[in-house]
Amino acid sequence: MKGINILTFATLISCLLLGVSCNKDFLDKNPPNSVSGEIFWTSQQDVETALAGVYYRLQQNFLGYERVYMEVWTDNAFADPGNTNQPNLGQMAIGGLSPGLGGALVNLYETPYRLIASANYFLDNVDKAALEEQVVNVYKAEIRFLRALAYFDLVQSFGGVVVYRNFLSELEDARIPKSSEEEVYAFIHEDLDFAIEHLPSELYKGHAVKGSAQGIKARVYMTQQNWSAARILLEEIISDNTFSLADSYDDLFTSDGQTKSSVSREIMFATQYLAPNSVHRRGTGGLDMELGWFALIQPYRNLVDDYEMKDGKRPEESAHYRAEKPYENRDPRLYATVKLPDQEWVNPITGETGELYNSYTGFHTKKWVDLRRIPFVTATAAQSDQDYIHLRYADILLMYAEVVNELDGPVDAVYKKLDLVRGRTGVDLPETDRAKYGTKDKLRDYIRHERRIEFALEGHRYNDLKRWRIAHTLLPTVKTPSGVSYVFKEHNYRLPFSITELDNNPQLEQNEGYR
Amino acid sequence: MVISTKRWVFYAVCAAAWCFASPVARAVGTPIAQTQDVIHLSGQVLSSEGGPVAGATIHYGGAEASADQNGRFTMQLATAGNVVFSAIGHTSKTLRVTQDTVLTVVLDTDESQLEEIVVVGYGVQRRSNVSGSLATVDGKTLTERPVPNAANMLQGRIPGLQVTQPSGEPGRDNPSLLIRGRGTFGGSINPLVLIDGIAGDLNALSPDDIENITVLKDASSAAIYGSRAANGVILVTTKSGKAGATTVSYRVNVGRHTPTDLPDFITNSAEYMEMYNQAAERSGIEFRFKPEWINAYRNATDREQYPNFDAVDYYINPATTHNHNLSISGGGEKNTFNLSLGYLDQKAMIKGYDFKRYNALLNYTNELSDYVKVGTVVNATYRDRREPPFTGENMALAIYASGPLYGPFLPDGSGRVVSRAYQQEGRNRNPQEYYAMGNQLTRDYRVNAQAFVDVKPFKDLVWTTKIALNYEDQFYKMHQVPYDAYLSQEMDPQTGDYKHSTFGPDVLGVTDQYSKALTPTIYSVLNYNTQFGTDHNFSALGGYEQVSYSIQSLRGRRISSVYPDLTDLGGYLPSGESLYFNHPRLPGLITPSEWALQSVFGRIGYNYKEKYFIESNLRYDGTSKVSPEYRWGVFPSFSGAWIASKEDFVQEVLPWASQLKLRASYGILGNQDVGTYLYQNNLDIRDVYYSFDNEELTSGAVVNVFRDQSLRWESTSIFNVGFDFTLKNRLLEVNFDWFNKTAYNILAQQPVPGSLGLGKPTTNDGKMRNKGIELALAHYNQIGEVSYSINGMISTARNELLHIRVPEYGSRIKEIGQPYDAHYLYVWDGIFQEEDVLPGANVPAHELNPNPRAGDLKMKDINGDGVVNSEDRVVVDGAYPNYMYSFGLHVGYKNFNLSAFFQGVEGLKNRVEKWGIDPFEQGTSPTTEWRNAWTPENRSNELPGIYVAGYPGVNAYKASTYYLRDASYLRLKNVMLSYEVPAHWLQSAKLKGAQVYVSADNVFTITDYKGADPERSSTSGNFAQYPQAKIFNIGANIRF
Repeated sequence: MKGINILTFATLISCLLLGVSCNKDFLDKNPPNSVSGEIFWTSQQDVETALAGVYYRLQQNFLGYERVYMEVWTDNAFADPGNTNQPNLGQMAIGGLSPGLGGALVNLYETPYRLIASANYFLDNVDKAALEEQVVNVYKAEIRFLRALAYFDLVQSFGGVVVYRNFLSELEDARIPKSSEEEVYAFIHEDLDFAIEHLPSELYKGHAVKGSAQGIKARVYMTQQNWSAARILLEEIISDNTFSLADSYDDLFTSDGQTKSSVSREIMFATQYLAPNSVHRRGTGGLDMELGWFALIQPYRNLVDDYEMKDGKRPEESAHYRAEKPYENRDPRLYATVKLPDQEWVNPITGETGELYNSYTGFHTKKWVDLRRIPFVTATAAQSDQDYIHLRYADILLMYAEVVNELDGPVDAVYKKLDLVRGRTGVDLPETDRAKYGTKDKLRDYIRHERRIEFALEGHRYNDLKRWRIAHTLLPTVKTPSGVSYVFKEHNYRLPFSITELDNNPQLEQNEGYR
Repeated sequence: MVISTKRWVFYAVCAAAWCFASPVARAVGTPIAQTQDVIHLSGQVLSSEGGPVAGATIHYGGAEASADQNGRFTMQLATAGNVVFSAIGHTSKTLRVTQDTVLTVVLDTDESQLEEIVVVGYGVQRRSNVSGSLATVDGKTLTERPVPNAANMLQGRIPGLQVTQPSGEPGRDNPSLLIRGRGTFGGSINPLVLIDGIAGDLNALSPDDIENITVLKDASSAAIYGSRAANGVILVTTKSGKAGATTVSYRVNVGRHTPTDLPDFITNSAEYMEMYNQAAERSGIEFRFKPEWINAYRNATDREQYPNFDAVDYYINPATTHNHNLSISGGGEKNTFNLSLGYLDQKAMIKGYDFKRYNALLNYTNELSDYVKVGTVVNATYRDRREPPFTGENMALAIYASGPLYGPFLPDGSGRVVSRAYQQEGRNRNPQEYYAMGNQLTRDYRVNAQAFVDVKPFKDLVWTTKIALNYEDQFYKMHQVPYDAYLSQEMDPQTGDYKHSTFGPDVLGVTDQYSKALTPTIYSVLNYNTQFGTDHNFSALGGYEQVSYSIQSLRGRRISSVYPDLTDLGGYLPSGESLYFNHPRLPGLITPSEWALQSVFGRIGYNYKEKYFIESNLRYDGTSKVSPEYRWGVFPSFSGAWIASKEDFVQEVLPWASQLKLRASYGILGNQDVGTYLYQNNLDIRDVYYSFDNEELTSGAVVNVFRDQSLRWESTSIFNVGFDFTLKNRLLEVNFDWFNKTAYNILAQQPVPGSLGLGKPTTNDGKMRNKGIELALAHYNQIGEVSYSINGMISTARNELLHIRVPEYGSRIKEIGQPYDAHYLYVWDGIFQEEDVLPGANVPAHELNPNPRAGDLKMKDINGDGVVNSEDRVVVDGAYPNYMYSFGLHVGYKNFNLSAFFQGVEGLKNRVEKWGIDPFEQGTSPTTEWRNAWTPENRSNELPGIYVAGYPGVNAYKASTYYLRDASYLRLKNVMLSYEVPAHWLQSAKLKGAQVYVSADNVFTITDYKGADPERSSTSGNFAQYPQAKIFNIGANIRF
């Protein structure tokens, strides 16, 4: 009996163990929620999915809505020290710019490369799907446009950088020397030329179009101070008549406004978002909260004071100015851009008032903040999905004005384009005082002023100040609310590569002034 | 399985076996001398208390005899010689016998536990036979500290085990356990915890159900667990029944928890406002408290409207914890059982929490026949935790941030919640708003069910097979409702009522999450012990094990309901519903995943005369976590021990030593605990969307991470030497270990150039060493009726990074030659005085604060180049403790027992900031020491000029030693007085025994760390923490 017991148990256990151990797949486990790279690239749908993946890269850091934060490196806005989304943001303005700095400085470098890696992966593999050449060329053109945008960002920030034309299969291939600034620009133009050739000439609806590529190419030329080449492209866009100014300045910066065709016709390229699953920042964040509640960037009085009166005159010259109510009767764009100290956030639909953190400067950012989302509690404001606009038609007009003034001086075409922007529906400023701004230099300053006002708190001014080469004279005059001066020296026109990056890529040479 | 590797293992096992077998064979061949003379020996073995020692063993040469029930024995000796009398629990005695004798042998009681059976991997060993480094602690010692969580009881009990309790928050007090220092930087640093042989969670156990805990620290004892053992192994054995009369025992404990240390904030409102105004001026902030407001507070008679509110005092209060445990155990001839039920009801020191834990344990064995034993262990836990929507640090910092100007409710008695006093003052949510917002709950069910069969096909061989299932089911719910809050000092001009003002809920509506994890384990082990001749003891063990794991989860959220008080998703509208919603307030999203592990393992041990010991362990593991080509790995270990005290020549030199054992071991362990699919090249589609038309999302696919397909194990080699020494009568016991633990091929995310544009790949690159010692001392004695013992332990672990591909420099440094993640900081050098900021002052330029003002933080220019920049950061000690120590005292007198237990950490430094450190962080009141802040008149070098948190003159140097706090401490961890009720008192009540006790935990603490508890494990760097608790207990053990 006992013997049988042992035997029975022995047999049972042996069977059991044999049964489990002979399962050959026991150690083969695969992730249930991602796609194997081996079987991808077989259909047009795969291609479109990968394409969306590259566009998705636009949503991160300074390629997306957070580009607005680049204003804090200018005389436009102060960075609240509580901004932990982009650490060291404020530090970079007041002399903290050093290779040891992490946070925002590293994000400026790495985010474009994340897009570039995705773009290269796409371009290297898309032919596997064997689509018609015409079809595939449009896809490639979109991706090459995005890649150019990313390299343009890098070259503006760092000058010459490492250029990869392909997706890397070996880690060591990433550790190469940087190309010169000229080589980077040449590569950007190469991509943009392909994009201009193959992208459809139509209104922008989320996918890059020919106008997007032409406009960015013009901006690249202007950064290179190649006025005549820029002029040709800008004239092409203007004469093409595809794009036109929005009929509401305010609506350009809200989700609802951006869906109106009378507004979206001005937008030439944007980083797009869509609530609730593709918002600025999942959880706690997004422009409504970060600007409308946390006050992460706070406009300087200097910016507010720069707005003209509604009659187009400087405050000191205008009959509308009253010292006790200094901000009344201003250029309407002020009220779309800045929340003044005596104003309250009020939801235009429900009448509810909003809560917000204090501003050191006393001013808050209004542009991008959607008052219809008040109260700005985490639950509702995390729905922020305003598209961040990289390029809009007003920019084309002001770029054109600038280019023509540089080439031909104060000619009629310059004033006309300026007046188009200043006289746009809802802004309705009178025409430019041609007598007052009658020389090339005066007009140049005035165009620059107009750019500051039109694009205030949109993230363009930092690169504008740099390409005008006035950052090193203008910025040291700016002081933070606690009285610390901005620092911008000659070598700061290029940012430093981080120590970590130099360690990771020993071939990379540090920019001058940071060694 | 790859054939060649299999063969390799076979060779290795054969070779190892041969090494052991050949000396054994030779020794067996030696003939034993025979003579004709016979000496007759008889007598009785008595214990030092006078009673007979039943079953004592008498050794003479190769012969062995046993004493009977009365300790009586007879035997015949071939020649005159030494006879050894021994018995479990007694020190053995050697007598020389030359002629026929009748002896009365008195054996001293020996508590040195040399003969104690200790749990080792897949088996048990006599402690005297252990050649590796392990330490044990029994359940009784653990429950002396009646803290709610069993894992926290291990603190200070095991040399080399660092236990850090994060806080006293109910249900969130799971400590971090670290054995012999941080061993890796890529994989998990948690030890493998096995409960009755099966991986489980120590935090879920009822402390009353623990029979003992063994911690395997070195490679020889842990290598049998191979790829999971690199961080050490903790073996927990639950209580089982013992044959004999059924015992019912009941233990009750009531504990009173009070906070150990809290910040001392300024609570005078007028003072607060004045200090704020100074700080705001310095920081350049527009908003100021108006003089009339300040006066209103200063001169108020209506303290409801104008309070000097002490939020810390109001929100943090003592709380009571109840713990009950009932167990029924016993057994007959063929079976034993233990059924135990536990209940814990823990209230929190901050209201709004409620934590309950229910435990059930069934331990049952049955001997079906002489050859077959079956048994089962079922351990079930149910934990129910209710909390406010904000917990831990977030709860504490809101209390800190609320300041003195307002209380929880409006002064009008309406019960409406206050948001704050003034619209523009800095603030977080008022803590009362958390209570208005809603709550969250977590229900956690765990079952660990195992069944085993022991078969003894023939003598000395036991075949054990165990099948176990770990099942964890968790339900989580966040419920938040819209609520209103008001400004206590501002009126709405239109309504004349208090002005409405609220940040509102942050995860509105209902968010539910269900998750399930299943871990089936099967192992089968052959265990063989035998003796060749009289002196050669041989043991072998071989086994197979497989473990697999899978987890799945679903999270859903709905936002709006007509009846927002409803807590079920069904009561909410589907519009705006979402799946897998993520938010910092919610627990991290669980990604479904699976892994599996398959292993064979073996152990061979040999000892000669129980004097010389050698042992080898080997495990051959395969894991799903690495690619098939690299899947299998071998983890060997070797150890040896010499009980020197059994040598005659040692006995002659050290006659007072009852034991001296020298040990050495070396082996290799693995760590596989990194992500699950690290080697697989995939395109991620989860949460990758782009909307081209602002109407619909398009799914995107991206490659996120560079993959290294040749990923393999992380390995850790440990070399350990040590000795155990005991004086006769346990007047002194010493256990000493020195170890050198080196982890190599560390699985870590390797830095890549940012320009690669892809996430860091996980690869095998990196090497780190921990060296240290562990010393435990104990002294036992009895003076008259007083018995007492003193013990102490100290351990060190010095961490050094030996290889990292790319160093990293932040406020922590990862550089070769330094401890991993050491503090890397600017050195604070006092405060800028007015003359320091004059033009031409001889003070280095501060890169991060280029235009300093008097009262700002001043840093040292380490390299003397005239500029304080990132080059001037230095490595600062304190990332790891210099040493950890504990010591204790037990005194017994008649029915009284007193124990006291101190525990400390030396040399640990925490860098902490914000609420409670930086004044006016979200409105946080300054602590009282800020009354001594720098001013032009008060040229302090201790504190800068008062500022509002974020002020760049201070904020720029957050990564400086100014923010570093010495978290060394020594505390009276526990003191306990118990009284055993005399048996004759209990007879009328038909009780078998009763004990009552009082005890206290964290009684006092000596530390420089002010305003909070030095013991914490925060990773946020925030000073604010849910408080640790002082616990005063009263309880009783009753046996029926």
